[in-house]
Amino acid sequence: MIYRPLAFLALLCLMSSSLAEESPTLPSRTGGIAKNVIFFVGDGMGVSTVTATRVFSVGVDGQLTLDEFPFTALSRTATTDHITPDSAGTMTSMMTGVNTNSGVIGFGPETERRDFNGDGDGPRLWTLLELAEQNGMKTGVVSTARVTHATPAACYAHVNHRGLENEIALQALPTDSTYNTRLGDGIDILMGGGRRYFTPGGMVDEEGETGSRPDGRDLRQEFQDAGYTYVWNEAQFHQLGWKDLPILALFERSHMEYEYDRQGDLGGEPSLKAMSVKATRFLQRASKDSGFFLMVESGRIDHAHHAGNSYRSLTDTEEFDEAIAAVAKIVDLEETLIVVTADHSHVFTIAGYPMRPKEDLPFDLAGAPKGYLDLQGNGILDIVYDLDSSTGEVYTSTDSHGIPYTALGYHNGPGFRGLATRVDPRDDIFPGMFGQDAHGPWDPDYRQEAAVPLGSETHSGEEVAIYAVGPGSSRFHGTVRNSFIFEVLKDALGF
Amino acid sequence: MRNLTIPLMLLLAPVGCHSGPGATTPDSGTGEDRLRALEARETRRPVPGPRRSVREPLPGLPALPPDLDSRPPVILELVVKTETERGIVESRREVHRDREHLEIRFPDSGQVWHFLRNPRDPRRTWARLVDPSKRMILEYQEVDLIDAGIARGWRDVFTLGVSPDSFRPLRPGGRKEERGGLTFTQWVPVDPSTTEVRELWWNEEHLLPLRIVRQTGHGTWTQEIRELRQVAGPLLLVDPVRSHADYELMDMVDWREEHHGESSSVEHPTLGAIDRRGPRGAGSHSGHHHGHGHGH
Repeated sequence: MIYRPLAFLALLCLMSSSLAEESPTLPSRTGGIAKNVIFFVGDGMGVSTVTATRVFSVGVDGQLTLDEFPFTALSRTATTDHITPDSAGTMTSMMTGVNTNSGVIGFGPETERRDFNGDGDGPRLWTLLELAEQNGMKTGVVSTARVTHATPAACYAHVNHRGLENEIALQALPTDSTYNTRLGDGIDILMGGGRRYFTPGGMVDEEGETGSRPDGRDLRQEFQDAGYTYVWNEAQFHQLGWKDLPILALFERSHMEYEYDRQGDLGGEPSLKAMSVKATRFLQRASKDSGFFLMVESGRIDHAHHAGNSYRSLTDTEEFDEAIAAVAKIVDLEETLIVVTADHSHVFTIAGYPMRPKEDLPFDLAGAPKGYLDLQGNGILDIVYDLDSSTGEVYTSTDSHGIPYTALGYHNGPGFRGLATRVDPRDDIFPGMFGQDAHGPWDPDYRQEAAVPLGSETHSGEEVAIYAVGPGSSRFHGTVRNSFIFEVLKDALGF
Repeated sequence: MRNLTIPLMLLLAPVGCHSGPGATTPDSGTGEDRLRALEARETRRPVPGPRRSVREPLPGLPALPPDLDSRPPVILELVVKTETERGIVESRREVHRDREHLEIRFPDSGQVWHFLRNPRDPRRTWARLVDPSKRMILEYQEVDLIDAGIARGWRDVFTLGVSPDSFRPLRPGGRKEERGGLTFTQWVPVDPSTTEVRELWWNEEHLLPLRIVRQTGHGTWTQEIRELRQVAGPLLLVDPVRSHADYELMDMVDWREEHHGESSSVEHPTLGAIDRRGPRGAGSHSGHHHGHGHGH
């Protein structure tokens, strides 16, 4: 690729950061500095999630893959109608450069969710994946959520309500009348969960669960008829070769398993790391000189937080970090821009003054409770132990009634205990969980406490982090709007 | 190798304001030196440090008891009573169980839990919750049932939460009780300090618990079969998607995403699983702490 500095400068100065549907002339790829872009999204992976995962995975002083990225920025996540956003509006912003309303995919702010004022939808925005397809690049969408869910869908579809997943699936099918023709010959890799929206309602699928398409269509077959290779389990996944492109892989009826639960899946599921590496390798091989755009989402960090279940959020984030490391290892960072971010954060906190594990301390202790000596999750998945600096002894931190509390917690959600007095988390039987009792805050099924009772824990409105490496990554610094991500990626590719 | 590009804005950008670990960014030198340093940073490969996490082993799915399918269908009236310092709360529910389905109906709210056995792997299950107040059917995938602490596998559902592990901390209590033509045997804890269970009355032939009494940190929880009726023929339980075709169908995970501002009015099903994890659980922590022999 030949670089023309002056032409590149001109494009940087003159190119608009967003493109409306009726743009008469689409910019072609000229003078970009990156051949490929890989965009990782940790859904709901706010800064507190990253910090907690760091402690859990590599220790307080350890380094996640994310910590090794040379360029970072803060990303503002508000949508045009909410301070605290959802995944649809935020991913649309990141993929199109246009901030929009929560719940809307691929349209700008003139489009209300579900078109509640009946004035129709606005023009469709151009997504980065669509631009990539229009410029002959190979493309891929990988997610542990359903491939029709908000974050992946914002790469390739346009709907005024994120719940229209039956329609979203059709927009990716090259032979359908509603096919999104901006996708050219089609997305090359569509991989994740969501088989229910590709299977007729009532039909028992490969894993013994039923589809939910109301139109009776079997899109698994229709995608194959359109030339796709379809797989649904881990064994088939490992048999795939790059010549099997385009690929439709649907490993679960709905979302894929959490990483912690993955080993128990009926058909077997590949890990996010395995999917990311395979997708990268295949797109590298298939794209030759044209380059590729790949979006990888760890979609269930968010779900675990909504359930108030920190353990699964941390283990999914750890797997996400592993996937990033594995991909960074196999690409040429002189021609591949890798950007990692989150769409929004969660009301997830690290509270009190929890001590580090004893082996990390730079001094000897005069004494400590037995529980501290067997600290769980390197201290993050346990109750809070603190240091009495007058005696050099570690003690159990307690609330104003003398009851211990956990390092991790939520502002709201299903973890509200609803009791006149709290119960020691180590003895806690969470009300409503009549089935399985989680024993201790280190238990994978434990629901960390919440201050405000809600059926589902919520997103939060503060900034999230952007991590970047590769050509153009140095443009990330300071505090930016999440729509800026689109600008950087587009400019790097030379659109 | 990429040709060096010296965009004007990079020439003017402050260098070194985001130095990562180990970065060397010259403060002096020519603009080209600074840009080369910047580009070197741009392409520095991120490598994580050694992992220190220890994952809990994933419990396997409970195996099915032999001849599970030979158990005849039953209809039960269950009562769940919780006694805490805030008082006593009692709720009734009707349970319909056959070899492929288990349905729990809550007469007060009208909610219905419908558990389906997986035809491809009979050890597995998933569920649909019908909520008339919202005109909605919530779908719980297998992992949602596990994550919500409702059930791990079809066996949990079929036995209303009692597994072979449940009996590990218990011993026969010597008493028997009849209900609906079935005989239930009493089980009591060997050492009450190691389990929340105070009583379990069990029929092994039909895999049914007459009564479960648990003493928790919050109070006492009791589940009891008040009425029991064996059914000769099939129960003809209808998939809620068909019986409530006009209801909105939604994954539980998506409900959490979409209805974040709402409190949950979900009635939790009665599957009184008992200390599935064995002696690691239970017991007061006032002064003692149990060990954790976990690891990969």
